[in-house]
Amino acid sequence: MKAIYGIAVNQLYVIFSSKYLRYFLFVIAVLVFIFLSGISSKNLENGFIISIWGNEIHNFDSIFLKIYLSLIYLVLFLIIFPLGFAHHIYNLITTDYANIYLSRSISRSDLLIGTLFAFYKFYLILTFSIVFITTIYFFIITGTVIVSLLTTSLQFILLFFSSFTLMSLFIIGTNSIGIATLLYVIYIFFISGLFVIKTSNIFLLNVLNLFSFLLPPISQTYENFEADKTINVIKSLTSLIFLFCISVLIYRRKEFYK
Amino acid sequence: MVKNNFIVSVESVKKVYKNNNNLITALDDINLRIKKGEVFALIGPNGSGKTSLIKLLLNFIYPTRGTIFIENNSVYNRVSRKNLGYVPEETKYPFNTNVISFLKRMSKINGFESISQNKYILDLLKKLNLYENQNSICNFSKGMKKRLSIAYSLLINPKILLLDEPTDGLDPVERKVIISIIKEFKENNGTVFLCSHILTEVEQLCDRFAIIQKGRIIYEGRKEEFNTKGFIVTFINYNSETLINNFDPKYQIQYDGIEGKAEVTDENELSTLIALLSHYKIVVKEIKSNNVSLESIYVKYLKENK
Repeated sequence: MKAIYGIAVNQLYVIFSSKYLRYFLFVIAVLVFIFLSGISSKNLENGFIISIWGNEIHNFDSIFLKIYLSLIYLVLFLIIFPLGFAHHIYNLITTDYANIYLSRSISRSDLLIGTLFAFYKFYLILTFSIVFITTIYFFIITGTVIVSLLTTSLQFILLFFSSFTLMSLFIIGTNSIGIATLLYVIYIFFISGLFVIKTSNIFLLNVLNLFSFLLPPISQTYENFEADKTINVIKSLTSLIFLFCISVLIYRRKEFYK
Repeated sequence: MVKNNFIVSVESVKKVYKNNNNLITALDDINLRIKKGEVFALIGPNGSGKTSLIKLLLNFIYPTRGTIFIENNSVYNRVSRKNLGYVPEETKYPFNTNVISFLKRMSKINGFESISQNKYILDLLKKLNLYENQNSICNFSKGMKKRLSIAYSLLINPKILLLDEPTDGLDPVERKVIISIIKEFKENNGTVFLCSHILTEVEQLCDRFAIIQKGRIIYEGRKEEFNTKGFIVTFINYNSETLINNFDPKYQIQYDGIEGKAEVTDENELSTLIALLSHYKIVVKEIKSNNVSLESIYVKYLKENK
């Protein structure tokens, strides 16, 4: 555990010193700034506040706000971030990290788990930072603390973890950032969409349902938001555990060629 | 499990890489045994399989066939790898930190956190002339990275050091520092597995050596075989041939009926042989020095196995 913790801390340093992080944070800062600057301090009679786009926002239950958060979280956290940091994961399967960490009292499992934990920790820090900044801003504007923003964001976190693990698994499995990116994009835009197909074929429905528990339920995110919030969390969690275990198993048999 | 007295045993190891649809045999039927406290050098041309063998010892890659034992434990066993220090040919350090922080952090990860360990780190850095360098290690020059690799490999007090071209690309001063560190490690009963192109360095360090070519060990020898100050004596004999046949076989005489050649390993043997030849009234035609260097052995076996 000491080794895993140490590797996670080391890798977190590596993430924070990465140039990709600066670009990524800049994009997030711009989006959050646009969003926050769009919020007007003008309170409507029934307690709603209004954005410059004319959407009414109240306690983060409005469709507008959800779409906006989805845009930030899904596009940036699920697509741009994993792709931007893919080379960090790629380093894991080249000798660079093996030279530094392995051959000593550190195992391959320690190295992979430590590195994934570093990324999970980073996601947590980033998500909570955005939530904190937004909450503070709303508190200043409206005078109320919006707890629902936190609970809304929490549902995404496991999905980020699971999606990032899927990207890592693709890279570890294919030894290539290019092929892994292609597979990841295909998954996000096409395969994950299958999970929400309404079909009358019971067998197919069961198969898709099973897979939706094993792979990140990206396409269901917005749909299930409205219906049952717990489904996403459970599916995200099961897929995270499944992908995490598969990644570790594959990585334990990995060869460091270069 | 095979139990033996060797700290490293490589048993019938074969390694085949798959490159697209081609199979490339990097190592074929490798058998090596290294004793505790020994410096074993593996020399060979580029692409002969030296780094592949080191990676197999580190368990970075897996053998297609055969087994490797370190202290009688299979290399798959995590315990066996705890005693390995490794200096790679080239390493990137993606950490934006100075050398002391890096080594302290890595000590902690490897479970070596103590005041004495901190003192050990500082001593190591002083020896390797890295103590006063406060730059980020990701900006280090090649030589500094190499010295850092040496420091890092010694951090966990390993029993075995695996060195892949440890002085490649270094200036003579840096090279000298690293050689002295390796010698010191050996004096403390450490075992060294060394891969190097620099044969003068191998001559200075190794107890035994092996020449590898196209994935096969073509020769194994000891340090006594090189740096010998021998002589070749050419003589002419007009007497009976049986006289020559009675000479000690250690002279390795080659005789064609009149002219012959004898080999001696030092000055004492030379004076004995000359006294013997003059005793039998055999004419000494020429005395040539016959120094054997590691390079001459290396070139000879590579040519023979081309």
